[in-house]
Amino acid sequence: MFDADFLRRLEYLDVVARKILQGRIRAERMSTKRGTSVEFEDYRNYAPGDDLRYLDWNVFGRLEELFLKLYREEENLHMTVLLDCSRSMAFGQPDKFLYARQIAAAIAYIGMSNLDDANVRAFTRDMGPAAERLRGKGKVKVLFPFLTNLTNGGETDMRRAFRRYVALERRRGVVVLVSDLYDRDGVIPALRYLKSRRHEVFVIHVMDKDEVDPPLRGDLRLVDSETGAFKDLTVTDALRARYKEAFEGHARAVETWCRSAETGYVRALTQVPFDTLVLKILKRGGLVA
Amino acid sequence: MSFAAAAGLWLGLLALPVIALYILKIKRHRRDVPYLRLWQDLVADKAFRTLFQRLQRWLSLLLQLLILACLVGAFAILTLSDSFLREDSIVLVVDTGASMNGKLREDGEGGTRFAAAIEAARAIIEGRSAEDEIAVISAGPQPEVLQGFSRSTLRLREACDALTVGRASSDLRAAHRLARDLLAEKKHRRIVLLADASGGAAEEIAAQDGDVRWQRIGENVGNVAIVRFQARRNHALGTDYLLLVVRNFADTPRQCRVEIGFEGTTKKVLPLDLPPDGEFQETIPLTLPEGGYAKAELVHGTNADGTPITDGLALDDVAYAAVPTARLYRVLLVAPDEATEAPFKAALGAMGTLIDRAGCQAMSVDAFAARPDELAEKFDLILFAHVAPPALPARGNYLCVNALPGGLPAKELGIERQPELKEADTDHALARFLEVKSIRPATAKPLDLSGGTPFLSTAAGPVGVVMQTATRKVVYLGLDVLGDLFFLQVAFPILLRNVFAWIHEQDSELVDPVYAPGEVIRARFAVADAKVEVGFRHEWTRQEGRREVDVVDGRFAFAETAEPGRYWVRTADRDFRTTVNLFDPAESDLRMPGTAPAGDIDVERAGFLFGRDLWPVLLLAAAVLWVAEWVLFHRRFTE
Repeated sequence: MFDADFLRRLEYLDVVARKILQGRIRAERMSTKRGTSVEFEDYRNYAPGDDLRYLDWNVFGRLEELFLKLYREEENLHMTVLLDCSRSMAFGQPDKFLYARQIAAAIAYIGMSNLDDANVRAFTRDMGPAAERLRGKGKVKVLFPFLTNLTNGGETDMRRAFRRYVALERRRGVVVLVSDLYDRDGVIPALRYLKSRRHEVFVIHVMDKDEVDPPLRGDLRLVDSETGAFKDLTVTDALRARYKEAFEGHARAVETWCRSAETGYVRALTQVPFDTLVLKILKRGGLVA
Repeated sequence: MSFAAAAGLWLGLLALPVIALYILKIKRHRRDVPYLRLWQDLVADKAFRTLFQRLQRWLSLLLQLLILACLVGAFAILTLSDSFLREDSIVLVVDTGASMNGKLREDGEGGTRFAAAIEAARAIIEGRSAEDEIAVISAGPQPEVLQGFSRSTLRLREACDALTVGRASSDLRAAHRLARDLLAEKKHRRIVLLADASGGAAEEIAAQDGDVRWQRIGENVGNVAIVRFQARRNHALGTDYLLLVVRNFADTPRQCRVEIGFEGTTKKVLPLDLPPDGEFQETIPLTLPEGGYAKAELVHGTNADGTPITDGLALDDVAYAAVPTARLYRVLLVAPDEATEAPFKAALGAMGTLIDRAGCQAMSVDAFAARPDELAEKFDLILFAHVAPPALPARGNYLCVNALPGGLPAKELGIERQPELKEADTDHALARFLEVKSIRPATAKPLDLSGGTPFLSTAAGPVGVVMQTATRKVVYLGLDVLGDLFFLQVAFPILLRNVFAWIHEQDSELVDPVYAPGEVIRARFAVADAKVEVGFRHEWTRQEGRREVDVVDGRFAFAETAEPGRYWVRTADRDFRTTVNLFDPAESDLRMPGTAPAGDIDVERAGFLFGRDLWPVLLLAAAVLWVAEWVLFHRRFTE
């Protein structure tokens, strides 16, 4: 999955990403939290228990008051890729799951090399395994095996999974959702929940061309890949047209909500090379804007 | 097993895999979709269409079975014909017999059977394969090849045009033999028999010969026919009588009448009420010494609107009977005395229609012996009663009663008292109609024969003998019958008639009284003339004519007898009447055995039914059905 060619393309993405991001973003971002960096920001009264190393002895000499020097803390960008590992992701040729992992790997790689902190978390009905706090390119040794060993299965329950994510990760940051957005309880409530926790959400809607325009015709038994439920029906051209409208409506509903909620949204057709897609995302600046 | 049954069996067997494949075809294939809910929402409002779509499926299966049937049919036709490229040699045998003049249907619609046969023949010619060659045979009384094997449609059409229906009986068996001869050198032989039942001949031929296909022409049509009408002369009684036989060839009762006329005058009208398959037989006495033609005609009455009712065939509604002109014979009676002479004179005197009384004479044996040759030449018969000369002339005709002349190859065995006569040989011309047991002679003189042929015997030996040379005929009757009134009044005239019929054969009718159409009129005995004249008056064409016919070795033959009617033969000194009538139940019976199909339906389908050319049609039908099935099945997915 992550062979030499893949790595070469990642390097290319990295170079391109640096050019795109230069002057527009910085790896270091000013955090509103006060911390221990070298840039002074303010004073406050000393309280027992404070680190005495940060007392301003000059002020104490002049005023005989104990003040503690406060410095602006330099906070790393915290980016998490939430990767849908449900069974529906196995659909398509190549399957969406492979494509989604390649996207996740690419985004995480760029994050690792340009930013400070990258996380990849799998989810289905709940949060699954994760590769956390990946910093620097050297962490690809952790990232790639993690993604390679991921398997898909089970149903999707985004709302439940996101609740668990919020509970696990209290830091706000950029959340990149890579999913086919099939959720019986709906996608938008889950996104709305994630958004309400002040995460910067970016949605990558993975889809296969056979989903957009299914090559189905005739008397068929359609089986849901996640639940196993089936439906006997005769697929006619008219029905196919209506399905395409319904699928487009489904995707458009999510996209519309994302736009209204200032959430990034991009459709990822598995037939489009993943690096092309990532570049498109970077050029739009949606991911890290 | 018939073709239809075999095809049905194959179809039945092949239908099973077709149905199985169709079930597999319509079996729903499983397809995984990532999110079924999208589909479920879509089809919720289309459930009402499911029933119609299911019906479409079964209609599709029905079409597939029809395709299979067409393919099986085409395959069977090709298989049955060995190869669809083979050349068939077909002989069309068209019945041109009298029955083909009959009605095609009981209601008279559809014209005649012959017209239907011609139409069927043309349909076969037009519908045959280009490789097929066809010959045409007209099956009349003498089968005739109108066209040898040809692939030229033009020539075959001309042969059809040359077919004419006759009024004679057809000889289908002879036509069949001729067809087989024509096909002897051919590889793929077929005979198409376009005929009605023809008395069962057609069915029999078709059953015996597998190459024959009998194309039935005509429906089950009823017909009443005169099957016999003939005049006979009772020389013993001096009267003529007409024998009439009418038969109802119908499955329903028929009422009609028969009018019997003589030389234009109606003599008798007989109403008939015939049950199904019933027969009416009547003997009508007439005294017609002058002779002539009697005519019998069936009249079927009229319909409510006054139009005459016609039955199936008109040809057998009219018949003629030839009544010969009576000839009177001169007899010389030679008796020993008046007592012996008297009873014979009385007997001869009572035979007014046979004996020329004025020309008869009686004399003694001495008087006869004085000029035997002259008397033998003068009289038609010399009757020796209880006396005989020592020798008979070399020429002449003699009846010797109870006395044996000298010079004959026999000798008397003596006198037998109260003889018991044995049953006579009824096949002998002299013993015909003789009631031997009623004859009670007082004595008999049986013979010890060294020549001659006996026709009557007692226990002691033959008492009735004929002895014949080239110029002389002698009948010996060794019985003393003077005291036997029955013999003299009844048996003697019969015997005398038999004697005249035998010894004066040349005085009998030269030709038979009735011939069938197409039958050759031949002389029954030699005539001295170099030529004879044959005249005719046809009943249906109304043609009259005369023909001179050469006589070869005393015999002649006249073959122009295809038309029923009145015919006569004129020699130098006499006219002999005869008739040509259709007395053939096989032609008059227009009923069809079994379930007879309507003639015109068969005619319309004859070409197709017969030909192998149906297979491309079946293949085309299969292709059309296949397209229809494809469209029907896949239209569901495009609508």
